[in-house]
Amino acid sequence: MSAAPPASAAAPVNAPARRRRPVQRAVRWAGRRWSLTIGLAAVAALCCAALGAGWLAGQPPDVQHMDATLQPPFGRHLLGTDEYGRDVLSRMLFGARLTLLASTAAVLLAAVTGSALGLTTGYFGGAYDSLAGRMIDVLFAFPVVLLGIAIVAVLGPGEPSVVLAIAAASLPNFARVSRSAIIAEREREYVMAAHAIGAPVPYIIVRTLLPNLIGPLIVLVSLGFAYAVLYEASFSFLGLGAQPPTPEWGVMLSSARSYLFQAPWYAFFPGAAIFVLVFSLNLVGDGLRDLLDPRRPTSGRPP
Amino acid sequence: MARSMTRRQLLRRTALTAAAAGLGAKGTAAWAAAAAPRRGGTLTISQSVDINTLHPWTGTLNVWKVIKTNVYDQLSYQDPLTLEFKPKLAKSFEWADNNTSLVVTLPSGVRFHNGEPLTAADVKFTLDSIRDPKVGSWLRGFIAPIMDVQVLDATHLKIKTDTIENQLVPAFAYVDIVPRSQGTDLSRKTPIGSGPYKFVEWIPNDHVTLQRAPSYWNEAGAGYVDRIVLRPVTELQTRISQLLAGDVDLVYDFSLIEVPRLRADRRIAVTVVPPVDQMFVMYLNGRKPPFNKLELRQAMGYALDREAFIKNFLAGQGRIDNSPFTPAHWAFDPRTEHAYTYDPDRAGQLLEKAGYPKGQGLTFSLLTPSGYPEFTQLSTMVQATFASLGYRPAIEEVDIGQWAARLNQSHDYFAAVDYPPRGSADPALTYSAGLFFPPVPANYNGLTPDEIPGYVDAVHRGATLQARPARKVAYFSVQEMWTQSLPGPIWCHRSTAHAALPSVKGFVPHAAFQQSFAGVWLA
Amino acid sequence: MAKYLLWRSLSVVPTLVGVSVLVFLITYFIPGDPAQIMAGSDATPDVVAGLRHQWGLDRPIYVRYAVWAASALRGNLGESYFSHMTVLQLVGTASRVTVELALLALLIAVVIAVPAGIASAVRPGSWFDLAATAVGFGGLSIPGFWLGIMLIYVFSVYLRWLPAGGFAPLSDGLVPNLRSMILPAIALGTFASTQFMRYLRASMLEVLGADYTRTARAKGLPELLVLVRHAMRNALIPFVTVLGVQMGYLLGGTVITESVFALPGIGRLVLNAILNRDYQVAAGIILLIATAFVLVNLAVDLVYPVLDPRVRLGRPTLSQ
Repeated sequence: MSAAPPASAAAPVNAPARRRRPVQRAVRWAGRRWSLTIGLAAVAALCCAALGAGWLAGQPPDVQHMDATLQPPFGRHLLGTDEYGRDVLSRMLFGARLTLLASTAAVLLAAVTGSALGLTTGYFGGAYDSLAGRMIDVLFAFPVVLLGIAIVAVLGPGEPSVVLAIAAASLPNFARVSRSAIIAEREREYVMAAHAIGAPVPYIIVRTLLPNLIGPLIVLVSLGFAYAVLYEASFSFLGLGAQPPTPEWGVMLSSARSYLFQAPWYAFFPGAAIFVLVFSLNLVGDGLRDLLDPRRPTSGRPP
Repeated sequence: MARSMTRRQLLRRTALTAAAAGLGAKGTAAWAAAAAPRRGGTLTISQSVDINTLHPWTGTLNVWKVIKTNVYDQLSYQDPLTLEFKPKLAKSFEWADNNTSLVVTLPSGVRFHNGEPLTAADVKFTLDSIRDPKVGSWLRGFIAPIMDVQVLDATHLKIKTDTIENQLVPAFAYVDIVPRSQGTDLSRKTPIGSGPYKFVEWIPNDHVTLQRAPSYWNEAGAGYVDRIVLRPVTELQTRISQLLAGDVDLVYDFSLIEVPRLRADRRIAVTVVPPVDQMFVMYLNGRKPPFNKLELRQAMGYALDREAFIKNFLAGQGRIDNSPFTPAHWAFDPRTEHAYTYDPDRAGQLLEKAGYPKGQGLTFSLLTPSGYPEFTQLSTMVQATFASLGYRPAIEEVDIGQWAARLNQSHDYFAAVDYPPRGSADPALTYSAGLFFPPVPANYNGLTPDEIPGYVDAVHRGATLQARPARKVAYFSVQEMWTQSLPGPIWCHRSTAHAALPSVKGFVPHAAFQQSFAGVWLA
Repeated sequence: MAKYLLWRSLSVVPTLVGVSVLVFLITYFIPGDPAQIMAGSDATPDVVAGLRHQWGLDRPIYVRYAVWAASALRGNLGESYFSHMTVLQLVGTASRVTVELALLALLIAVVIAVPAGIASAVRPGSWFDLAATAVGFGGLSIPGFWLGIMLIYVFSVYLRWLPAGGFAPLSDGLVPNLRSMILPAIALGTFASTQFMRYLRASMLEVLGADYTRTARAKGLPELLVLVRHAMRNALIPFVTVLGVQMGYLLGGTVITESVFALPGIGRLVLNAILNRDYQVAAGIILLIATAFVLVNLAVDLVYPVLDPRVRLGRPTLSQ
């Protein structure tokens, strides 16, 4: 977290320059950045759980037991059952897969297209830059939920529409960051030198400029992930994304709302899962930012 | 039908008046024994959705039916307690001319809310307009047997038909009489009727206001409360909160699943209409595979665990039936009682017989409209049954406009859940539209008469014979044929539930949404 | 400076044009025929065709855009196919709810964030700071709709203190109105408060470490005075930019909150409009919201240099 005061943690240790074993060094490194480590561990755990959903769940997510609906947790079903008697734990594990996949797709799509746009507009400038800049401003002018509603209205509900909406909303951030980084760098000597020796433009962009961008981009990607997970669940909650009876956290929360009186736990678990995932992703993002880009606060759209 | 008996006894005990106009002395006497109703006050009602049109002949939503029943007059009405159709605006109906004309006698001195007198000419205008295809009214099928309408004088009409048509008098309960000066383009105009309540305004997404008409031609049917305000609120929890807070006096038609919880709350009175009218059915498109095959349709009949559906999603407020009617109805055929049950194995065998062993090669989807959770729940259960048999159909959820268009116009669907009403009506009316009447284009299933030989004749006999025993025979045979060829499974009947504050008196819910509030008063 | 202000104001125009084109295209491509829906399921084809002609739905796309854009500029955004109320009327009634919700959420966010942010900055590294940052992090990660549902469960279902949803207008009384709005405002404002808190804390830290603050302290001024007169005023300036961006989030976030709490606001209006294929309403509202967002950001960009002389003179600030 950006709050972790560097002063105390990095207090110079007046220890003799002894050779520490790599493992110990790694552990100390991780210990100092405990929030990043915890975040990474949580995300990894969730990914593993999602991958191994089939084994961990013990039963398929769509088998109905109409005689055992809305059962409380810690009975025969660890997290209880939903209104059709389906196992909540199983549905949550399979739901994790969908959420992780969709968010990854959205973020990568945004990162690739956004950076490409930013790099090229920053490098070439001119009319292309102005035009693209206008279009990005237009995209930026839309609150993401509205954009999602609009895209879903045209393409129909479903995960692909949601992925597209989130990617479109995250695009401007990547574009702006890469563009300003390019603008800062393009007048530098090494770029001019590369240009002078006749290196082709794509080579310049990819080999010389891009590596300087990796740090901020990684930070944006990890923060973008948190953003994507949150919005993917929100869209599904509104009925725009995954459709019932697909197991998905947002969808489960939407159904659980009608049973808040009889079965409050049904609404608790999927939401808690979203919270934990997003929290961990934010920890990771923040930790990476401290690592790679300590000076710069988030610019543009907040995660 | 134990529940309805208890309810009737309860009603008589508390001596509430029968809601609709025309009961006169009988009602008031029974009721004068209890507290005397007061005039005045505003009755605030919460409904589940907003109306979407002001047109009395094309609007189909139940919430609109509830409103227009009070704003307009209809020639007949369905008694909420006995479920029989009786004259309302009409003083009498008589078959004459060797049973080829129905003579309707109207009272004199009836005025519309704009002062114009209501005469036979207005009734003729209304009937002729509904019969006009250009108007696009869904009621056209109900009064299709009418060949001509003649005005005899200001208070007498003669309706010419081919023979006796039993569906006409029940159908008139749905026909709202509009002044001929208003024309037929009514979707935006403020409704001008002759009912006990005047239409004041509609603020979309906010409320509809009705005001008691200064005078109503039937004293006994005039309203007590001065104003009725109807508010659309979709969220059930919100409607309940508003009721408990006193912002709303009556929550009309809410999700059955909340009935047990609300019944336990002493601050409100819950009335549940017995499951006699609305029925859950599934329309199957017989124009294309797979439901052009009889075995597949029958398999669908075995595919729903109705007991579990009623228990879990209707809070037990339903009745398993394979017939559009319930046992208390004279036309109910007891042989339908066990025609279909929940039997996935049997369904699996039928699939194999049809050429889809273990669901191989099977393709279909279930079409549901959004905003109707019970439809989605039913579809999800059916989906699970088929999934266990080897094929999982997708559930397509679309908005209600698209759903209706795909069902009615493009016939672009495989299977769709709906809950059509009129299970308590005269069978002639029940079988005159939509699901049940093969040759009409409005028939969702697309089955032609030769695919169910004898069906059309039997329906016609039931509609045109006078003697009840003969009609009963005809309708028994109709139900038998239906059960065998199953154009679409009839799953169960559904109750409707309403919740009100104790200060609301005289509320008698109507199973078919022909809800009159004229008898309601506020303590 | 004047050149900057002028240039910045003018740059809004192409953006708004782009927004209007995008909005129109979106509504143009929504599947489903509004004429069909208006006519009802039993209407004959010529009734439908008649309606289509009446509403101008059979003209080419660029003509429809031009007509729509021209009327929009004159203030006529069309009307609902169903209720025939104009878009502006519908927005007017719905915006009572949404604006109140957004303002209350903003108020809650500020009330939480400002003291917490300042207190954290004043004592960095203290347990309060760490706790506040942790809570802030949590608030940032919590899904708004889940928070709303949990709040409903605790305060409505379990404790029965507050209604579970629905909007009580001010005409019903101030207390019922606030009772119906407090939970949604908390659900919506939580996220914004975390953003404010972070930004404010970082901004305050920079300011507190600055030379002029040290000077003020060295002069012997009481700490409170230092905080208020010098530190806060300077720290609040970049706050303004975050405010602008948060408005966008708030406007979008109301869709979810209004859905959870069943509030008849603009979010619900636009969601229903799209679901019902009520094109003109949908297009009109999206256009209005996007325009509002663009204008708010313009205002922030124009006000900022007025507040912060460093920007005017081109010196580096925190956000660069």
